[in-house]
This record gives sequence, structure tokens and C-alpha cells, in this order.
Amino acid sequence: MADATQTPEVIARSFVPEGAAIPQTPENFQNQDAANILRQKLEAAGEDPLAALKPVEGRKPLDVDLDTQLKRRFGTEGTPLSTEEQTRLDSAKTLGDTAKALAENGFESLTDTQKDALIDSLITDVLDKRPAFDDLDPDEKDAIAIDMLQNPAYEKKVGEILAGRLKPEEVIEVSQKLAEAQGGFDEAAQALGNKQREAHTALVDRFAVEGQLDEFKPATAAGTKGAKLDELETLRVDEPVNRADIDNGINDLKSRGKTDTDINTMKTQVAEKIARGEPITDPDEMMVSDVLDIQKDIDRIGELEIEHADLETERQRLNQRLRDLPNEITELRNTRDEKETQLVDARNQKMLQEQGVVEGMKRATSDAANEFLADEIQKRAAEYQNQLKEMLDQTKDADEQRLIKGMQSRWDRAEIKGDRIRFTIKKGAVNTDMRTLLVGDGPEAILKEMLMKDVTDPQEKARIEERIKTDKDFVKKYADKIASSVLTKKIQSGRLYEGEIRVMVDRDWGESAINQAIANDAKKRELIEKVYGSDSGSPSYVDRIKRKAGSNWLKFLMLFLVGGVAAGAITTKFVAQEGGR
Amino acid sequence: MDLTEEHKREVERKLVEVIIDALGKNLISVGDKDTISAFILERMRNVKDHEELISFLRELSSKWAIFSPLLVTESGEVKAKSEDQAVDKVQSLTQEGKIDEAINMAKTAVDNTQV
Repeated sequence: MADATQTPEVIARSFVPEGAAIPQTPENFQNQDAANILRQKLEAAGEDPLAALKPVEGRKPLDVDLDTQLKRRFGTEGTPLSTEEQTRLDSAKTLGDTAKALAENGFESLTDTQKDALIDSLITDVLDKRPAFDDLDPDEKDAIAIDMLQNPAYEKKVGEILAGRLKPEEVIEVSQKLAEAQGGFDEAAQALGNKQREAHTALVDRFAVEGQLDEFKPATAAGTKGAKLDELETLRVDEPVNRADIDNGINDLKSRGKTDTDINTMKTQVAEKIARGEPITDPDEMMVSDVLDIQKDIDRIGELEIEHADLETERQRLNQRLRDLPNEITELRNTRDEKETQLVDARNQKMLQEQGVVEGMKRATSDAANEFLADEIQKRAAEYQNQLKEMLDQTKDADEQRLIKGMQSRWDRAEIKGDRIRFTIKKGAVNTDMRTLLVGDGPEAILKEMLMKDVTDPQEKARIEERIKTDKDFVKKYADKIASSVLTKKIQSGRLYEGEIRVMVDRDWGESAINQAIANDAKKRELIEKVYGSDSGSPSYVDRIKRKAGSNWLKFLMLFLVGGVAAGAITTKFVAQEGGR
Repeated sequence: MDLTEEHKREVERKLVEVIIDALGKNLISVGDKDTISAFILERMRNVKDHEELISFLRELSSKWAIFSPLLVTESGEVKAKSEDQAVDKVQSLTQEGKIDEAINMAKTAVDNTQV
């Protein structure tokens, strides 16, 4: 029964049985994750438990207007987006939102769907592409991916990459170019259409002219004479008679005292009366009316001749147009096709840009992971170089100096980039030395080669041989350093198999080299001590893992060595679970 | 009453564990966690002795009841320690013959340790 002095909330909670099922909602899963992360932080916080509650330093809202910048890259201000374009924009938005939320609020703030997508992406696009992680199980890769996703330095890198890909000052030309290409194509298509319509009209006109010309055709075996030719020929036959009749009429009028001027005036007046439909009753006017009628037949000859000639001219003009138009149409069609190609190119460019934006949003997290890992390896290379420099500063021994200087450049290539020196691992040299270690004469052979390099004086050669034979401490110190260096570089640069570690452990120098490789790496060391405790009774890390991890010790040693590349990516919880296998 | 660094760290650890427990049981949300964390970080650094610790825990519990059990526990410890110290002091005063002072001390101690 609940104590009466307890608060109502505590009493209420006392009714909840242990392990009672709570409805699982997305928010609940988020709470569970936050609880797990907080527990890990508390375990890591050591003497300052409240450090677990502190917000991650450097986490702040990104100065990126994701929505605006994505729309700008998809050209939403112009024509409405097609379904495919909208789908791509939605996809970019979803991916960008996830990356932004990760950078601004951390992995724990994401939904389960977002978390799963990011973990999958990091495994597929980063871990699976690095040989160093080849031998890890899916659960192990999950643990490494999650660890990286929770790393503040990684979050910061995601934010930087996202901001770099959505710069507001970046000029986006593809939408403008597409609009121009669309305009060019529309104009060319319009011109072609107009020309095709012109050709059609010319053809129709040509057909009509041919029909009209048929009226002037002489009779053939296939058809009758054209009506207008028939009319013209009749009028021509009648013309002399008609002209004589007109002369007679005019002469009659003159005989009745009419002058040429009178007759012309009468012609006008009679024509007007006829036009008005007034009756003609005066004999002189009736004579003029007859003259006018006969004159019409004569004038009709000229009209028909002109009509025939005009039709012939029009036929020739149309024939010429119909000969020219196909070329003009072909030229315009070529222009239209060219503009269509430009339009398709512009559309493809826009599509590629949009796919690039989607890919850029998708890869923001995996690219950040690759950079993060590269930086981590870089940091370790720089640390290694610093160690060598310290060793060099501390010794006056010429042989030691020679060996250290040799090690400075044997496995690392220094490049000056801006005001920084970047180191890249010489994979070929590392692989060669790894073969010497595993199947050759071991680290002493490499040590001897380094000391003998460029030495030609027989006495000096003899001295070196003698020292290698007699100065066991010197040989052991540098053989171990060489072996651990090769091992470290091999881990950092590529594939490492369990079998190789097994062979190494079997060599007299192997365990020492592995221990030194771990001892030189603060994160590996810290991780092992966190999992197995600081065991003063067993200074050998290999020995400690052998004793505490049981039959799977080799696997665990492998995890510690490879996991170190991912910045101590194997979590305590994960390793603890693995220990129970 | 003095608050040792060790005990303060222990309380701080318990505060974080209460939050973890509450998140795990969905009694608070991630947003609540951030608010509570900010409150604890701001106020806990000013806590110098047991009285301030209890005062802080009382305020914290009034805002978020999940901390009530911790308040109850801490108050009990403070009460026990205060009582022990008061008993020592009262005995000492009695031995010195300062009876009135011993009685007043005993009364004050009882009043102060009531939650």
C-alpha cells in the first residue's frame, strides 16, 4: 500500500506494475532513444554527472532557408512543376529536412523513419565502401553508424555541407535557360505552322485558279470547251457586226443633229437611267441605249481576255510558291527540330540539376560521414607524426634518428594544402611492409633495410649489422614501433582480416605491436578501459581481451582495432552486449 | 549544513537518472527533458549547502513531480544528519552547563528539519 506521505504523483505511479505495457507511439520511441542516449552520456560524464544534461556545444539553427533555396533550384516561379519535378522537389525537401534537423537538433530529435534512413545510408554509402569495415556484422555496422550520427563534430559537418549546397548567392540558370529554350521552340513551331498553312492555302488557291482557267480551255476529247472561251469566241465573231451597228447608231444620231459631245452626255444620262431602272422612251435615248448594250459585248471581250491573262499570271505565281514552299518548310522544320533538341537538352539539364539537388540532399549525411572519417584519419596521421617528432627531439643516437626520419616518410606522404599539411597513407608501402611482417622476416628486416638504406661504406654496414645483433633493446624498441606503425597504417588505409591479426599475435613481435597500436590511440585505449576496466595486473591489452572476451577474443580485438578508425565508434553498450555472446 | 562535493555529485547523478527513468517510462517528453535540463543546469550550480539543495529540490518537484521521491529521500537524509548534528551540539551545550541554549538549539533543529 502506498505511503500516505508520498505525493499523489508517486502514489499514482505506484499502481503501475513493473513492465506494464505502454502504448508505443513514435514519440514514445523517441523518448526511449533519448533515455538511452542520456544514459550513455551519464556513463561518459564521470565526475560531472550534469555534463550529461548540457546541450551539445556549437549546435545552433542553420542559416539555411531550405524551402526557398530548394524551390529556387527547381524554378517554381515560372511554369508550374510537372508531376515528376514535384516528386523530385518533395524528395529533396524530405531529405534536406532530415539533414537540417540532424545538424540543428541532433540525432535524438529525429523520427524513427528518419533515423533508420540515415543509418541505412551511412552503412550503404560509407561503411560498406570502406574495406576496413568489411568483416563487421550488420549489428556492428549499425552501432558504428549510430555512434557517428550522435557525434557533435559530425552534426556540424552535415550543417556545413548542407549550407554549402544551398547557397542563396548561387546563380541558378537552368530554369531561365529552359524558359528561353521553350520560347525559341514555340516561336519556331509557330513559324513552321504558319508556313504549312500558307502552303495549304496556296494549294487550295492553285486548285481554284485551275478551275477558273478551265472556263477558258478549248474543247478536248476528254471534255467540252470552257464556257468563257466559248463566250469570248462568240463575242469576237460578233465584234465586226457590233461595231458596225454602233457606227450606224452614232451616225443616225449625228444625222439628227447630235454632236459627239451630245452623244457622250446622252450615254452617261442613259446609263444612269438604266441603273435607276427608269424607262427609256425617247427615240434618241433608245438609240443610245442600244449602242451601250452593243458596246458592252465589245467591252466584255477585253474583260475576258484580261481575266484569262490574270488567271494565267496567278497560276504561274502559285506554281512558283508551291515549288518554293517545300524548301521553306523544310528549313523551318529543321529550325523547329533544332529548337526542340535545345528544349529537350534544357529539360534534361533541369532534370539533372534537380536530381543533383536530390542527390546532394541525400548525400549530405554520407558525404559528411566520409569527411568525418577522413578528418579522423588525418588527425591520427598528424598525431603519429608528432609522436615521431617528439622521439626525434629526445634522442641523440644517430641510428635512432635515422630510423625515426625514415618512419616519418615511409608510410605517410605529406602534402602542403594552403597553410596546412595533409598526410596521405602510402598504401603500397604499407602493404609491402605488412607482407614482410606476416610472411617475411618480420619487423627486424624492415628495421635493417631502413638503417642500411643508401649506406655504402663497408665499415658502417658492419657496424650496423653488429648493433642489430647485439643491441637487443634498441632492436626491440624500434621493431615494435615499426610493427605497430605498419599495423596502424594498415588499419587506417584498408582491409584487415582476422587471419592477419591471428598470424600477428602468433609472432613474437605481434602482441607487442598490437598493444602499442592500441596504447598510441587514446580512443581505443579509453574504450577498452571503459569496457574491461583499467587492469593494472595485465598491462597487455591483447591479453586482457583474451581473458575477458572468451572464445570470441579475436573478433573483439578486431572490433577494437577497426572500430578505432571510426573514432571509437563501438559503443560501450554494444561491446558489452557482444561480450555476452 | 555543509554539502560535500561527493554528495552533491551523487544528487546530480540521481537527478539525471530520474530524467532517464521518466523518459523511459514516457512520463516526460524530449522537449520536457531539454527544459528540465536547462533549469537544473542553471540552478544546481548555485547550490552550496543542504538547505539550498532542499530548496532547489522542492522547487524542482513543484514543477515536475517526477523529482518528488528524490526530494523525500534527500529531506530524510538532511533531517537525519541535522538531527545527529543537533544532538551532538545539544549534548555539548549540556555538558558545558548551557541548558537554555541547549533547549533552544534542540527546538531550532526540530523546526529546521521539518519538510
